[in-house]
Amino acid sequence: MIFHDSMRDAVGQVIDKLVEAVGAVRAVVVSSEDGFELVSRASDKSHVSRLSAMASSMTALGAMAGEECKIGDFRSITLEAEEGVILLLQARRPDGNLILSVIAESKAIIGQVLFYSKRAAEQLQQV
Amino acid sequence: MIVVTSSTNSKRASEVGLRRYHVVGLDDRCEKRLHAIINLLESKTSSKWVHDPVTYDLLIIGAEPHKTVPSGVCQRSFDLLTGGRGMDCALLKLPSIVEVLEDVDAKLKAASNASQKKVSKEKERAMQLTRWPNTSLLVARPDYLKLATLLLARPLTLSDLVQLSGVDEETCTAFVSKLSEEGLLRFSSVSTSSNTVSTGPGKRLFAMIRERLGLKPTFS
Amino acid sequence: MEYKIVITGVTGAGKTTAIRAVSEIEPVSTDVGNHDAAVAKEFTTVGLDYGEITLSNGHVLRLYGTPGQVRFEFMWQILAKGALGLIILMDNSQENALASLDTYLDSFSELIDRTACVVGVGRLESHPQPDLDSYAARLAQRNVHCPVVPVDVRRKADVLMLFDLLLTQLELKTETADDFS
Repeated sequence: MIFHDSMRDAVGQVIDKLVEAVGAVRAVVVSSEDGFELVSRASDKSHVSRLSAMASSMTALGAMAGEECKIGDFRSITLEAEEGVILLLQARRPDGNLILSVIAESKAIIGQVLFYSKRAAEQLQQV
Repeated sequence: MIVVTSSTNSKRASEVGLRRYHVVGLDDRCEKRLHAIINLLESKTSSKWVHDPVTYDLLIIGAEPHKTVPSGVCQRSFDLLTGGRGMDCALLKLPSIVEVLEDVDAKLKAASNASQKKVSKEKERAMQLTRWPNTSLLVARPDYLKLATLLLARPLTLSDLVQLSGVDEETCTAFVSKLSEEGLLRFSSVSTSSNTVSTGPGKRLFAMIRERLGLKPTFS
Repeated sequence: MEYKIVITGVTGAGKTTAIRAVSEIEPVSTDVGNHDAAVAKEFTTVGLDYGEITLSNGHVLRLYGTPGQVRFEFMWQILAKGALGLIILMDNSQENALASLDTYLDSFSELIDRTACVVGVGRLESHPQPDLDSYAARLAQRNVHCPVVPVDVRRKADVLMLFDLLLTQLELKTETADDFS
């Protein structure tokens, strides 16, 4: 998948708006379905590439589980941990699906994170 | 006059009871007749002799004594023909042929015992491969792959190897000799007998997996 | 007690194919579109391939294929936990084969030490270098004692041979009954 600069810019704008809208977001990563980072916003960038690969695996496994249970197309995974939350959402695109990973602190309002992340994912389908 | 040479190349692992010969320098009819006679003599000789132009223990040469005889090969002359040309050339002295074959057979056995004694001394020592052998050492027989894998896994005595692999002792010995020559074996005084190979559920698990995959069980 | 065997190796070496050859169920794959220019494949495994074999006592032997690329190394660790053994599949048509082998030997070193491993090299006929002796030398250098053999994973007999060699080693190396109960 070739990530053109113009695409990166557009994606960057989407996730900037997401970060703005939701407080307590630690990092946002947009990556390819096969685990390559596209654009990210994070205070600590060292984890981003591994996170992209992990997001790919988790999404793929999640999709597999969803298929197994016959509950329709995969949409998202919410990973709750003691000190935070990771949201993985899929943005379907004809040129290759993208994965949006949002890492938020526990003080973030989960409903809010979900709402804005879903909106961002929808926007990513269009850029 | 036919000159007969025999090879005492003990490195070749012959199959038990089987000897190979080749013929050069005889005309077609004589050669065909010789093949037929040796075949017929099967009941009279200790080993079965088969014609093999590629690898042979005995080379029967017609007419002139072989000019260049490789080292380790002995050469003797025997008068195997009676009569002259034509029909008579087909008459070969049967008792002489048997004598020659038996004589060569005995020499080969003696040479083979000598080399085996050397290996037998190490028979009770446990050996293990220090690394996976090069392809050239493995290609000769498909069994060698299994033998190498066993020897790589843990120290085994020759008896262990024979028992675990289900491969005959002669082949195992030949392979081990080759590995030893290449310096690939590590010998230890700890003699590991097959009794210490896993007998618990672990072994059952692997046996079940083998069964399910349709793989032959490991002999034990 | 979970029984599993892990199949790893470079993308395109045929891990999924190998599992399909022995699995009772059609292998489950987490294949996605491949966007890695370095790998000439349409799809690539990002999670795992999964196959099963039911044993005569009703227990299940699970077969796990890992993703090939090193960025999924965390999956290798997850899948290697508690495995019975490892099969490494190489593809000789890819560059830096021996360096790739090193990667797997490094990442799976604990599993290899604890159990056993077999290296299967594919596409040797069309790409004879590095030859098997080079692989053997590299393994010797890394002090890894395992067989290395040529394979064509499209041939079931070749895949079975890999399992045969793995089981042979495991049978000899398993001393105590406590290991697998």
